[in-house]
Amino acid sequence: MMSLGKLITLKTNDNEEFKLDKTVAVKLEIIKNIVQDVDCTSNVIPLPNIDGKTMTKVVKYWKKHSEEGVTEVQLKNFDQDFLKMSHSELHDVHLAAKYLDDNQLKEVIIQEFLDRIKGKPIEEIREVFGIVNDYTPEEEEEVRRENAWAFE
Amino acid sequence: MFESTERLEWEVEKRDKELITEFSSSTEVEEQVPKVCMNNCMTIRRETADILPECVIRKILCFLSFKEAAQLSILSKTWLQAWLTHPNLDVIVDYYGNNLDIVDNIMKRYRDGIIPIEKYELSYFDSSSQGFPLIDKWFDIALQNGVKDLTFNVPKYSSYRLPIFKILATKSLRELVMWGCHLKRASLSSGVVNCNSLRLLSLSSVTLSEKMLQTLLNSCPLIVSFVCDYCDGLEKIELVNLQNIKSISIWKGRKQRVKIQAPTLEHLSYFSVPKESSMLDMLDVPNLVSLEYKGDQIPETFVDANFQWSCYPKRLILESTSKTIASFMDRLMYMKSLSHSTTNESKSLHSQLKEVKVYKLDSSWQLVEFRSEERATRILKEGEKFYFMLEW
Repeated sequence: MMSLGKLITLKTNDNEEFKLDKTVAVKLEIIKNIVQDVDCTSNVIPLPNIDGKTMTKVVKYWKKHSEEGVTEVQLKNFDQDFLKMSHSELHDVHLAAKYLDDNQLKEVIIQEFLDRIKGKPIEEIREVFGIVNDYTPEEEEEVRRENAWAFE
Repeated sequence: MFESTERLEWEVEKRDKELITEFSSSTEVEEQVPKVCMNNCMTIRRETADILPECVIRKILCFLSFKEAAQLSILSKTWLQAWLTHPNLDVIVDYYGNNLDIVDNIMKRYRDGIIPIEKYELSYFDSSSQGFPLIDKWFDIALQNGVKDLTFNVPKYSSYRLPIFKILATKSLRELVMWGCHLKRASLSSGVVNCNSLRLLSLSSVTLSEKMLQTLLNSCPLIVSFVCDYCDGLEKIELVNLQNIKSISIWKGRKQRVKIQAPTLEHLSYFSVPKESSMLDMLDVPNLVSLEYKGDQIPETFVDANFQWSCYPKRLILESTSKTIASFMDRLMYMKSLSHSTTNESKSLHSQLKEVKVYKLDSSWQLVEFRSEERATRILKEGEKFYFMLEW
């Protein structure tokens, strides 16, 4: 296991490198775990499942959330801004958070998906998320009939 | 279990991606062409539309009510599939019992498909007893399918007999929340069970005897949280021998005496009845961090007339008469001045209060600091809540 005292470099699948300093890295259980798993003499941790564009976002999130003396209000505003991205980008960040085992980030993203869905009519949700209606009209009718209680 | 499936998904995806790249390079087609026929757990990037993978859909459904989740099943087959195996059920049987059949069909589907159930919340408001055998059956299904969090809500007048010890005999159970049940009717004969997995036991408006309460607590000795709100039939609530207890919340009824002996306790919320003494015996709670207390008088077992404290909480939320709050504030200020002075008298006290900060809510529900030099008695209003931050 390498020492956490130095800079840690995370390398994405498109060869982009992210240097995290100790103050950020030490607070992250995730990095600690990866560091333990990877048997390396250099300080470079490969992230084969994450591209640079996504990792830029993740690192931005981590850095803000581990800032010294950052207030709740500041974090709230940051999160609001941070989540202004397309669904596919959001999904990429979710997958990255999953791979990195970052439960907090995962939950933030799911909550954002939820906010984008809740209270909207079915047609609008389909349109916004590009969900293809793969029911035949008969099948859709059947689902509606079987779950009629939910649509009352 | 979730961990391993999540990791698996990743591996599948990674391999798929490699396959695509391989396929693309060998046939020299544009990369997005084969992606269209990929399974939907793969992100379709760039100009193609977004598709939420089933794993994300499942997570989204977990934040919705059962009904809201059902509504979304109409979106597409993937959403239907996610809903059909949704692990969280909250079911409300209305006053006329009109939807018993619907609920029964849903429960049968979970039974026949052996679909895992994590949370099961049943509210049963039907005034007749026609559905009681069904409730029993549904509980059986939930228990068999590994339910972890169980909530049961009936009106106080309901004559349903909850199979409480059958429920507690389940090994998977983590949380048990009861509203309005009549446990006096439950038989104690089958009472020796051990539910070591239970972490939360919550009783609200439950009618039960002292013996029943003791049997319940003995059945789940490892609970971390205990709630007892407006429970009838108890003259004494005795909480001792709970070795892992961290949080207790009690809204006590008239003439109920409470005894708490819990060295591991960290949070206590205690709401007493107006015009009655606190009736709280608090012993051996050295680890108490926060205390929320509502009552006309400060309990003697908490801090006595000689400023001897039985515990040293950092946070204190107090709702009482203006007179009690004023004298309590004076006491705190006096204690603080003692610990700052260097006389022998202060050193003899083993409780040293270094700092006190008092806050209260202003009209816009923000906490504002209440300055100690303000004459407390003049500013205090009846029924106001005060927040104390104490440094020992």
